[in-house]
Amino acid sequence: MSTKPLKVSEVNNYIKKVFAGDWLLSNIKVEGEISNFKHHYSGHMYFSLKDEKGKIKCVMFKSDNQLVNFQLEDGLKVVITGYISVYEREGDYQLYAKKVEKSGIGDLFQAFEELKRKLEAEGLFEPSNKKDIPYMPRKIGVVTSSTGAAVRDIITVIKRRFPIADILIYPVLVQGVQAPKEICEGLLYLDSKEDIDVIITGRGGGSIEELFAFNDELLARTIYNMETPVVSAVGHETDFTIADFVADLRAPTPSAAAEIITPELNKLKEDLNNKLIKLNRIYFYLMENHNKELEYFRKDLNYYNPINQLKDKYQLLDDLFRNLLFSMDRHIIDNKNKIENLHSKINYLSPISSLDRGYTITLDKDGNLISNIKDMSINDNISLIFKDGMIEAKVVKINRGEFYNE
Amino acid sequence: MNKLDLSYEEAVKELEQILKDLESGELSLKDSLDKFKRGVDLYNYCNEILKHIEGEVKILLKDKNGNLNEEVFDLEV
Repeated sequence: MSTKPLKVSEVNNYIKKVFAGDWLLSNIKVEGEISNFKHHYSGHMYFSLKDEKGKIKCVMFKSDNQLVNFQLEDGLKVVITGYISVYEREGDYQLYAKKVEKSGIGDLFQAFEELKRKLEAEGLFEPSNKKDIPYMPRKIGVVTSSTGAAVRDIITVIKRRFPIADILIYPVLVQGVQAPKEICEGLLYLDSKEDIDVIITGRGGGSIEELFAFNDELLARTIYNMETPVVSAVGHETDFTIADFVADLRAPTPSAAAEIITPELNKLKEDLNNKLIKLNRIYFYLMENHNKELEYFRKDLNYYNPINQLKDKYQLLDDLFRNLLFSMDRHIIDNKNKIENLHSKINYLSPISSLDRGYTITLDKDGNLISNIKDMSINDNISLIFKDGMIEAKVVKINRGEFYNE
Repeated sequence: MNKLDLSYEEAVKELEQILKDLESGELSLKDSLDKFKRGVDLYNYCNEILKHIEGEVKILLKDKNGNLNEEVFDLEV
């Protein structure tokens, strides 16, 4: 049977189509060890995946490998998800990787889930068992790597928000087999210190294995039994570890942990000063009210003070006395005038003044005034008083009748 | 000035309560005066705390005998 020969490119193209139509090759997971890893300057990755018996070429384009959050390197065991296709130019078939995970991730995840269930059942995550985070820590303990970004972030945030707090760092490994033990030692050491108010433990972002130290059972139990409140800050916001569940507070990142446990000093100062202003205002308002009230009382008391009533009486008395004096004066003056009147009248009517005018006064022998002649007899002795002397005389004749009718 | 055996938070809470009591206007003059004095004491106490000097940053390092010593930690940015 003879067939028409195909061109090479036609063959490759045909194979490619066959591959593309295969349900397994078009969506496959392959496990193996990386070798000949090259990260080309174009951003694409070229490497091989191998096991004991075979090898397959792999490529991972820039658009796909940007999402890989760990370093691919020779010897690393991985599981690649992608498809197998043909590079027609070389006639090579290769694995086009869309996603890469480290081998054993599934095991880690399972271990994590199992431990989580177990500790949860024991009540280690109970919200009621969580300690309160102090409102204002004087001294903050930090258990983390002394070289990572985490410790820097924590210190920077604390210095910015609440610079008066002391910070004590217990440096530990935050990944690897030794890490959980060291973290536990750090926590226990700081817990034994009386003056530490709160402890942050955690690390910066990393792969799930790198964060796995914080999924340790002993670490979980240590955190649970601490006297000092513990804030966990492991990786990024999306990373959750056992330590996060058992800690008294879970912060999404180390910076956030520092932010959560510190009040803002400037705000505290402002609040405090406002309170003082308010205290003064209320107090002086109260005092003023008391003073006002007192002033009312004073006025009332004054009004009812008997001394004041006495004063009125004194005044009345004074008035009366003044009136009295005035009346007296009037009376005296009136009387004086009257007397003067009388005096001049008397003067006018006085017999002495009659003598001046040439009249005489006649007295009998006993000195009684004789005003008519009806009792007079001849030879009676009489006295005649003149202005300038007296004459003794004897009645010689009596003419009865009216003198001036004659 | 650490004569008050209180945390900052407790002191602030007490100060707030004093403000409330004074605001109610139901206190006697003597009580008002006492509360005012206490309020000023609390303010001074809190203010002292906030005036605390810059906190220190230290790191625990092991010497050759394995003992932990506190040393100043320089943050290199």
